[in-house]
Amino acid sequence: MTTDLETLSMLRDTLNRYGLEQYTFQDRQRYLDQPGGFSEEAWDALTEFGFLGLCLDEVDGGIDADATTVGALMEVIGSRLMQEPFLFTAVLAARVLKASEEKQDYLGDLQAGRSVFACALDCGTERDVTWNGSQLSGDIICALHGDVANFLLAAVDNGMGHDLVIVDLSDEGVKRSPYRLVDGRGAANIRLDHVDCIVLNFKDQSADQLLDRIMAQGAVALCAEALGVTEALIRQTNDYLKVRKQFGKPLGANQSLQHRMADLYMLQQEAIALTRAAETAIDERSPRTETLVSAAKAWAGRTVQQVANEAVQMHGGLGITEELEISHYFRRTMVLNTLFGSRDEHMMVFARNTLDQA
Amino acid sequence: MSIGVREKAERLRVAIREFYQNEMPGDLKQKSHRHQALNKDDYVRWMELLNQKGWAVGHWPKEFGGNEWSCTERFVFEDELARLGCPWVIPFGVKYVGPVIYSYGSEEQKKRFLPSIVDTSEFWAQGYSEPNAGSDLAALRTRAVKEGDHYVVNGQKVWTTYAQWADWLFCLVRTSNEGKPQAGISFLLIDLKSPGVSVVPIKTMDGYEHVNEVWLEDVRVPVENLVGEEGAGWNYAKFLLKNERTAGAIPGQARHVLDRLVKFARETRSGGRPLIEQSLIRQRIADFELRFLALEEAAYRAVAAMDEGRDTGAEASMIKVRGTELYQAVSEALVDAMSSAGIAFDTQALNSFDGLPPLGPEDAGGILKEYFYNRAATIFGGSSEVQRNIIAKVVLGL
Repeated sequence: MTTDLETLSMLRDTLNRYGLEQYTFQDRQRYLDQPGGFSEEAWDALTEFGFLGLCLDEVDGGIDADATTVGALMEVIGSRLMQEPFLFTAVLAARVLKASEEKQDYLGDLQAGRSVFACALDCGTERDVTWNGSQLSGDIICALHGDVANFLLAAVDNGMGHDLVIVDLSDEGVKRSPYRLVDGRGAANIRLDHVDCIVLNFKDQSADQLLDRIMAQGAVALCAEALGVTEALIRQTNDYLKVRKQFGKPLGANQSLQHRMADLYMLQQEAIALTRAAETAIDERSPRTETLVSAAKAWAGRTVQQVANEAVQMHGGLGITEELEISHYFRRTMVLNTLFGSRDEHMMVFARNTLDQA
Repeated sequence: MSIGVREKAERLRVAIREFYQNEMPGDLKQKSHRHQALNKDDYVRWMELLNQKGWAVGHWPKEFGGNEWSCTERFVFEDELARLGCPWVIPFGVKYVGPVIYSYGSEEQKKRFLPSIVDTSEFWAQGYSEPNAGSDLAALRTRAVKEGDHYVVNGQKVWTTYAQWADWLFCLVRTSNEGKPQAGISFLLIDLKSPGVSVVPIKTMDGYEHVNEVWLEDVRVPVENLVGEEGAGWNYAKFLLKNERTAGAIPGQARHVLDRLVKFARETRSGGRPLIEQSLIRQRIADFELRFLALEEAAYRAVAAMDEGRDTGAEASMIKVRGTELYQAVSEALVDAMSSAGIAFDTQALNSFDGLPPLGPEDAGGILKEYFYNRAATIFGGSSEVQRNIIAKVVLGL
């Protein structure tokens, strides 16, 4: 199902306006001190806008938002460096849960902003766990939002494939070691000792089919977030080059810097094009989805890294200071290039899909 | 002839390795191995140790306590310390202002300042950059107006490393607005305990406060603290910047983090195989090794040219550009290879951090901290853009 363009731009405008008014860089600096490194007020606002239920089906109060629509919102999230657990809760967990027979137990709280999900779908989490069909033991490392989450959605190996299970993180067999990631968002290493889990059952598809789709959606959502970071960095750096004067002229009057900015712009345009193509492939269930998602993640990752490096360099000493936004975008970039597969990992998938055709 | 110089320098390299193995205090070794923040006492202790070996000012003339090292020896000294991952040899006294004072200062200044630079009993900071004078240093606006036997100084300096610990600031000030911007600049030595000086720390993304703003408000500086002639400060500044750019530590820094990357890629397995056997990573590391070898040989060739007086003036610029860009690229590849362990840190916690990191090798926090701070390596001491301008102008005549 595709979301119509009018709805998409309305949703994006709503989030944009909220960001401009309530989620400035100064606001964000305050939010970093709150539990989980995100803003409770912003989470409430996302709930009120109905964003937490966007991916749910219409019967459950959502609009079954497609990957393109989620991407439009992720771009705003990236450009504002928003910290809230939107992707893991309202996109990934919501999409898994809504397909399950157990959805009624979770969707109400999820939509009302009362539950936060961490995910261990292989999304930058390395798993060393044992699963006996009902209980889970072992260590989940570096689970984003794992410090404050109510539930963990995990993909566990059942010997023949994967089960998708829900861990209630208030269980007494759960021990969390919380910390902050480089971008200030909370995470945790989670130790599980014989914790009873809810195994999700799916009607029309296997857990593995759903898992593949969710992983692709997660990766491409981070591409869109990277586009938001890229756009903000290019805009701010371009503005700086116009106003900062050295040797009697704006920095931007130097042809060498003009060429470097032009290179970044070209990378950005290609990253946008690949990300849109990957989103469309997901929405249309194209057989090329895996190829396009890995291409987009590798390219968007390369782009945002080069843009972040150049933004720091062109801002000079200011670029590495805590008080300027640039260094915060630089740190978010590190997280974007680690979760849902690194640039190298996606290059290898892309190579396999492109070069090893049967 | 240059082979003899290089052999002599290599003997110094061996001596430094032995010193590191046998005489370096364990706590300094561990702190610098983990890239933990060193405090002022650590640095003073470190400089005293180097001074006992005759190395702190090895490149100085004998009459001021030095060993008259060749450029090659000086290079090897800084290179080897950086390779081993030793604490930074804070350059503001021994490398920057010391040579300016013994080359251009008065007899009184030499007597007053050089001994305390040699034994680090006084700590120096560099007052060069200003908010509107970075790469374009000659645009500086801090004013010094002569009133009787004092200069009265007003203005603001920025990016002043370790000003919070320093006793003295060597400072470029404007004493005239006549003629070219370079012509009105003078070189003053300012006691940081003077009334009117305030030091405001700047926090960088590694969570640390290495650098500061230094505000100067009606600061009275005795005229005898002017170095050389009024209005000739730009010449001394250029002399100093050239020393800043000899950049001996630069290949060593890249080597140190490259060694760490190779070790990490050998010890870490992914999909059942060591990372170093995986094609993308293997090729990337091999490329770093090639770039390093080219850098190292070019650096030796450059310092040999300096020793023989046939350098072009652009050698140091080239070593700095190539070396710092390699340093950053290797550091980025290492953090990338660390995967989750490369993001599992609150940057604010990096410096108070004393135990094991949440994930990864025990020095994971230090690796990350170095990655953050070395983004500045292509900015300070003349940005890569300025260095490329120098190469284009000085060697290529463009």
